[in-house]
Amino acid sequence: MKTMLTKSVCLSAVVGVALLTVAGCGGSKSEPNSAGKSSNTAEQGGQTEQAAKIKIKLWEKPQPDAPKGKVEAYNAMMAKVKQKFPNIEIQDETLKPGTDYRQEYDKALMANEAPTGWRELPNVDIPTRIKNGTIADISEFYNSWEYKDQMIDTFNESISTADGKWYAVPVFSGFINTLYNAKTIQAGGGDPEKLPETWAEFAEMGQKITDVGVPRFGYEIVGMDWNAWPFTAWVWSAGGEMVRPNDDGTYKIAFNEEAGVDAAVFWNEMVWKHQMTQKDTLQDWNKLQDDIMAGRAAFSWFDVSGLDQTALDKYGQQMSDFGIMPMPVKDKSITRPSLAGGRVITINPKASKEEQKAAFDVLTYITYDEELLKEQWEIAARENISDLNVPARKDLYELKLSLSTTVPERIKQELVAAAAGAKSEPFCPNWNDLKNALSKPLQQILLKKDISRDEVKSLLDKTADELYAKYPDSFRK
Amino acid sequence: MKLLSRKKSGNDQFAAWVFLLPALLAFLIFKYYPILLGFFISFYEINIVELPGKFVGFSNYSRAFADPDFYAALRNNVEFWVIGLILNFWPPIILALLVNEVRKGKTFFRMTYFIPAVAPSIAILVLWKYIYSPDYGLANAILNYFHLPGLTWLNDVALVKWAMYLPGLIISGGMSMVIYMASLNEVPKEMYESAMIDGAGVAKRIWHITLPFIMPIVKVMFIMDLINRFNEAAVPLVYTGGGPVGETTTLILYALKSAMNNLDYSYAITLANIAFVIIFIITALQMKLTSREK
Repeated sequence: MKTMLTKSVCLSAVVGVALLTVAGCGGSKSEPNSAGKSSNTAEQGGQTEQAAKIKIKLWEKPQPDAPKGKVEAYNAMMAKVKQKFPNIEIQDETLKPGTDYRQEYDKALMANEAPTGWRELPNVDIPTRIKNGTIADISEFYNSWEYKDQMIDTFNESISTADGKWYAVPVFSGFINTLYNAKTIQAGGGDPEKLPETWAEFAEMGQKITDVGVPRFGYEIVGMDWNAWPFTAWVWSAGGEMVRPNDDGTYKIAFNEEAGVDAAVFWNEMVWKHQMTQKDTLQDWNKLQDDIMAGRAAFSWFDVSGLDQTALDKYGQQMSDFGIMPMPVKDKSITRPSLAGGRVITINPKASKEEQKAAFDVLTYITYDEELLKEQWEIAARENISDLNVPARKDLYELKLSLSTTVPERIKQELVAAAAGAKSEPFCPNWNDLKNALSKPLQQILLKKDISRDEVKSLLDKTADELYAKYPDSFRK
Repeated sequence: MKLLSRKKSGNDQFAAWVFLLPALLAFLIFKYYPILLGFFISFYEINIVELPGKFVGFSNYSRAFADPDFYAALRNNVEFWVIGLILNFWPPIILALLVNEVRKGKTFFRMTYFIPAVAPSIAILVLWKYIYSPDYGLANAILNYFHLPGLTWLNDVALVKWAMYLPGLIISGGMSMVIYMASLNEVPKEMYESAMIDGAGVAKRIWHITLPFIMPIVKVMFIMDLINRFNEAAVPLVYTGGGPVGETTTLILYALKSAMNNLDYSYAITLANIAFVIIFIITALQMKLTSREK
């Protein structure tokens, strides 16, 4: 009897634990899914007022440790949104910080927990996502949209298709440029008022500034996995292109033409001949940023949106010591380029049409409405938050810069000049695969001391041939 | 009496099953289910919007076996394993044997080698990354002090794997050493005494008594080491990101990059499955050889 009782108690305890485990894995069944439909009938029943509301989910909420100014700006924004869209109920959440935000979105999409609309995807991702269907076709919303003629058009190619369909609209455009540290230039005996414009001038100044004993480097070269990204701008600065469109919709690979070879050879020379870079050519992105912000490097490839006094404070640096310049060019006949990139608004393909429209309306309102944007910029200025990106409304850029009290005048002028020469990455199909394929040969070029021009050409040709073979629908000679 | 003992044995079995069940469920849900799901998904081209996507049969596997980067990653795994055997596998055994021979201060030596193993391994990896910095790292500072030229360490294709595994002596050597020392404590002292009476020196005692006695634990550690080498991703990710020129991209790191950089989830899972099968086959072979020897 006693044994039976013991057995029953043990068995009940074990079954109970097992059921709790399985229930815990199953997750809550009463949360709304990404389409905003709650499966909890108790919530749906008896709420006739809310039945007319469209529920959407966003990931706009700032991080728990966000500065006071960002929280204030967010609250002000949401107050305006609630006033403007009384029939839209927003479930807003914070996405955890990290560089795997793309994978977080995909995970959420698979689990039906993705936001109805999102403003974080980079424009370079859009062609891939058009192909894999993880973002919605928003052509019908775009075509009747009041701001479509006022949005920046820097990366229209990536967010729309040749047959006139639209999949995203811009949130902002940022520049990736050459950042310079005027104090470091001076410390190395250079003159920040006479910045280099050509490769020869750049090498001369870089070599002069570099002193490994300090350590102080002329230029921070990006040799890690992402090296094809800055290499694109260097190919432009040599007067070349990475790809050229064919008539049949495919692209001819061009990074192995003379201009591309020139750029690659110059990269090798910066490391070995002019000795103006860090020796750790493959160091990671965070360390590269550290070096320029801490004053260990005079020039660096840099995403301008990361230039912020709050970020510089931990290095004891002032924003007024920094500046932005377009790429130096092989010779003065070539227009000095800047690389433009940015974030876009995308819509969840699994949401209903009403939810998609609601999300599009809300997100374009907070991104394009002049009154709301002016209030946001005023809060940023008051709270000392820098934002150097070009807003999605190209007609409001001057206003934004005029309201910004944290950005030195010199940088404002440099930004306007950079905007004029900004070019977006080419958006051929398999563009990201092309960049990934270039990563290893570029590292080989950077790491080999006595590499000849023929060897460089051979490496680039081999990569081009591999791409032609692997992606015949995208690349054709 | 027989009935009573049979009943008691039945009760014991039932109790054992009852206590094993939660762990078994956890293993099934969190280990076996993802493995099986991974194999299932590898036969599809994943469509995130409409799971699982398009059935493609073995085409992900054919793609892997025709992919030169796959073979490069596999070669890296094998090279890491060989270098790991030299730098990280045998030194703790030698260290354990040496410390075991020490009469006074054994505890001191054991603690000294064990304490670094307690520190978070990622923190030590990051620290060594700075030590290896060719621009301002401690390693080159020491070389320069002795008027030797600095090396590019993690940027050097020939040197990178060795440089990566050298800190393993500190990170994991202590833990392995302690395990071997525990095994050494089980060697009967009478065997050493008889050997000494027969005139056997230290080397002969180690070769003929100590090593055969601890061989079972060495074999287990060998299998664990092999599994860890083929699952290696965190170490190259932290140190080099898989470079230079893909020299430290392992199979699992290649799978991770396929997922993270290319959003190619099907291919990533396929690569992980292949790594799993390789480890499984090698482990099974190893265990079969071991049981044959017995």
